[in-house]
Amino acid sequence: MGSSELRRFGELLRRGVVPALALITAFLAGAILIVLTDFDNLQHLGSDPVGALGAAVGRVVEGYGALFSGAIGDPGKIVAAIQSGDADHIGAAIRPISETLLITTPFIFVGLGLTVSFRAGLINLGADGQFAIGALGAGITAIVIGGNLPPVLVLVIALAGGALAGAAYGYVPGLLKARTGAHEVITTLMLNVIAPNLVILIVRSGIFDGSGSAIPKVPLIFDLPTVRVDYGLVAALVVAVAVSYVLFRTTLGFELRAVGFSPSAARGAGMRTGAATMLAMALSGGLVGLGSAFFQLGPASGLGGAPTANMGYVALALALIAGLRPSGVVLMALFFGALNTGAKNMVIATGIPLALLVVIIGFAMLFVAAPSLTRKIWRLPPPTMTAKDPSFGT
Amino acid sequence: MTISRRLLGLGASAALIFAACSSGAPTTAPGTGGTATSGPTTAPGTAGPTGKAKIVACVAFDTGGLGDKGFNDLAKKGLEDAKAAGYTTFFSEAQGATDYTNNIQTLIDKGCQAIVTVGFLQSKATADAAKANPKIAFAQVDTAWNACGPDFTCGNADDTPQPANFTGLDYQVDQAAMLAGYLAAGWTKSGKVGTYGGLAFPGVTRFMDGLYAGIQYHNQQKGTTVKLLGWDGSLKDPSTSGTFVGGSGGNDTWVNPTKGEELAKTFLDQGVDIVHPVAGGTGNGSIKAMSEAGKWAIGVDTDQYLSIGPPTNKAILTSAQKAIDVSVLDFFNQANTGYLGGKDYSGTIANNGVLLSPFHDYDTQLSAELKAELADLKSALGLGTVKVCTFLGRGC
Repeated sequence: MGSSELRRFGELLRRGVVPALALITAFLAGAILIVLTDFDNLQHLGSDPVGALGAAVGRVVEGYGALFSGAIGDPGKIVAAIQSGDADHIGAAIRPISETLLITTPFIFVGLGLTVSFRAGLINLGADGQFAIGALGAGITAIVIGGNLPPVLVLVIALAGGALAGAAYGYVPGLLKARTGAHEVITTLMLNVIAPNLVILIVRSGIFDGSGSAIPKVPLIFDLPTVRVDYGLVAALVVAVAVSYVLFRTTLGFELRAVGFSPSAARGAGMRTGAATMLAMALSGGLVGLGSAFFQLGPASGLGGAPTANMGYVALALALIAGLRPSGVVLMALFFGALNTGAKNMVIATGIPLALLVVIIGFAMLFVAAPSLTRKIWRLPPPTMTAKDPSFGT
Repeated sequence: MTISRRLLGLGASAALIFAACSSGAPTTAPGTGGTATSGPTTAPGTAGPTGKAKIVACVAFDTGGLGDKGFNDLAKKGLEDAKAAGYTTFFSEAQGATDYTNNIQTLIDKGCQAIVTVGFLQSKATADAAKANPKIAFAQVDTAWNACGPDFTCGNADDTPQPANFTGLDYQVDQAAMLAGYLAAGWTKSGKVGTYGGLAFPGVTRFMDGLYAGIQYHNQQKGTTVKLLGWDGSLKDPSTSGTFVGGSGGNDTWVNPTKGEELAKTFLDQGVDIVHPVAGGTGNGSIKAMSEAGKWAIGVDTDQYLSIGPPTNKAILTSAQKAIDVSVLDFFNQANTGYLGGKDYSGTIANNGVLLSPFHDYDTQLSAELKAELADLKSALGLGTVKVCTFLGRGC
C-alpha cells in the first residue's frame, strides 16, 4: 500500500468517525429509553435494584439482539440451509437479510436524490411528496400504455414515467427558487402536503376504474419461497455509480457542487446558478420518483405508501450520515434497511414499541447534524481545518 | 385488487384514515357471509384441542395503529385478554407498505397458529399469507369476504372463494344502533334526532339504518312521533337524500371536526337535540358542538365517552359499539379448538359482538322503564323476533 493510498484510507476512516460515533450514541440513547420505559422492571427498583437493573439491561440485550437477528438472520442457519440445497430452507434462512435488501433499494434512491440537491446547496425536504407523485406517475404510465406493449417494455416505460413525475414535482420548487427566490424548505414542505391529496383527487376522479390489473412487476432476483428482493436493488447500485460519476467526474456535477459551495462565486465564474438550481431539484426529484416507481412496481405491489413512516426525514438523516457521498448512501441505506427490518422483529420478539426505531434514527440524525456535540460527548479533538469539507466541498 | 383501490392506497395518510375509521371500511351488507359463527368445522387443526397447551395467538397491527383508542387498541385488548387466558401471544407493528407481508411471515416463523390482521391495507398480504399457509387460521378485523375476494369489490379478477383458513370479522352494528335509536327516541325532548355519515359506504349506512329502525320501533311501541333527520330509512335507497360529509374519502371526510361542528349546528337549527355522527374524527366536532349547546350525541364504533374524555363527553348518551376485542378473543378460542376459517364471523347482539355502551353520566337519569324496554329490545334482537330490516324501506 503506497503512502498516498494509506493517506486516503486514513482520510476515509477519519471521515467515518463522527457518523459512526453518532450511531453508537443513538443506540446508547435508545438503550436508556428501553430501560426507562420498562415499568415492569423499574417498579422493583426499590426492593431489588440489582435484579431490576439486570432485567432491564437484559431487555436491552434481548431487544437489540432481536433487532440484529431480524435484520441479518442466523448465519449458522444460512450456511446450513445453503449446504442442504433445499429451496424452502434457504428461503426461510435468508428471508431476514433479503427483507433488509428489499427496503435498502428505496433508501438508496431517495438518499441519492437528497444527496444531489444538498450538493447543489438545496435543502430538499420534499422527498415524501416526490415519492407519492413518482408512484402516481408510474401507475398512470403503466395503465395508459399497458396491454399494448410487451410487459418488459411497459415496465421500463412505467419506471421512466415515475422518474419523470418525480422530476417534475422536484422541478417546481427549483423553478420557484430560481425565479422568485422562494425558499425550497418552505415550498417542498408545502408540496408534501399537496401530493398525497393530489393523488386522491386523481384516483377519485375514476379514471383508473375498470383498468386491468396487468401491471408488470420488477422481476425477482431469487426464485425462493418468501424471498422478495428484486432487480430494483441492482438498478439502485448502478444508479449510485452513475450519480457518483456525474457529481464528481463531469462538468455538470462540478457546476452543481460549485453552486452549492458558493452561489455568488459560481455566478462570478460565469455559471448559470438559476439553471443549476432547477436542474438539481429536478434530478433530485427524479431519483426519488424512480425509487418510488421501483417500490410500487416491486414489493409494494401498487399498494402505495412508502417503505417507512416519515421517509423524507429518515432519508435526510441517511444522506447526512452518509456525508452526501453516493458510496456512503449505499452503505447507510443498507444500514437503515437493516435497522428498519430488524426493528419489526424486535417488536414481535420483545414487544418494545416500534416508536423506538424512529427515536434512534432521530437521535442519529441529531448527533450527525451537530458534530461538535458528538465530538464533545466522546471527547474527540476538534477537526483539523485542512480536511476537506465533507458536505459541500469538492 | 382493482386499480382504483390500489392507487387509493398511494395517498398513504388518507388511506390509513380510511382504514382506521370503521366507517370507511368497505364492509358490505350482510347476506352471503353466514350469520353467527359456527363452531369448529373441519380439520383436526394444528394444536391439540384440549389440555393446557393453547395455540400461539397473534395480531398484526397497521401503521401507526396502536394508541388509536379505537380499532387497533380494541384488537390489542383482545390479544391481552387472550394472553391472560393462557395463550402465548405475539404482535407486530407496521411502518411501511412492505411491512405487512414481512410481519405476517415473521409471526408465522415465530410459530403463530392464529393470526388476526388489522387494517384495510393489509388485505392483500393477509389473503396471500392465508393461501400460502393453509394450516394457520387467519382473520381480519372489519372485513367480510362475501365472495368478492380480498378487495371486497365484486365483479373483478380476485372474486375467489373464501379460503378455508380465513375468517372475516364482521359486525352487525345496525343491531346496536337500533338500540341507540330506541334510546334516542325515548330521550329526545324536541322529538328530532339527526344523523349523518362520512360517505355512503355500507359500513356507514348500517349505523344509520339501525338508528332509523330504533326510532321507528319506539314510535310504533310508544305512539311517539320522533323524526330522524339526515337518513330516511323508509326509502328504497336513502343514500341519495341522506346527509353525508362527502369529500375525497381522505382526511377531509373522516378527520374534519370543523365540518362536523357545522353539520351539528345545522341540525340544532332544525330543532334536533340528539346527533349520531358516523364519520370518524369528523363526528368529534359534532359531539363538541352538541356538548356546548347542552344537547346530546350518540357515539360510534367504540365507547366514545371513554375515548373522547371530559368535558366534551358529557354530551354522549351512549355509543353503538363494535366489540372487536371480544371477537378477536372469540376467534382465538375457536382456533384453539381446531377451527381454521372458511366463514366470516358476524358480531351480533346475541354473541356480544356488537353492543350498546354503558350510559355513564346518564345512567341515573334514564328511567327504569326505558332501561327495561331497552333490555327487552336487546333480547328480542338477539332472538331475532325484532329485526332492523323490517323497519326499512328496502325490506329484508
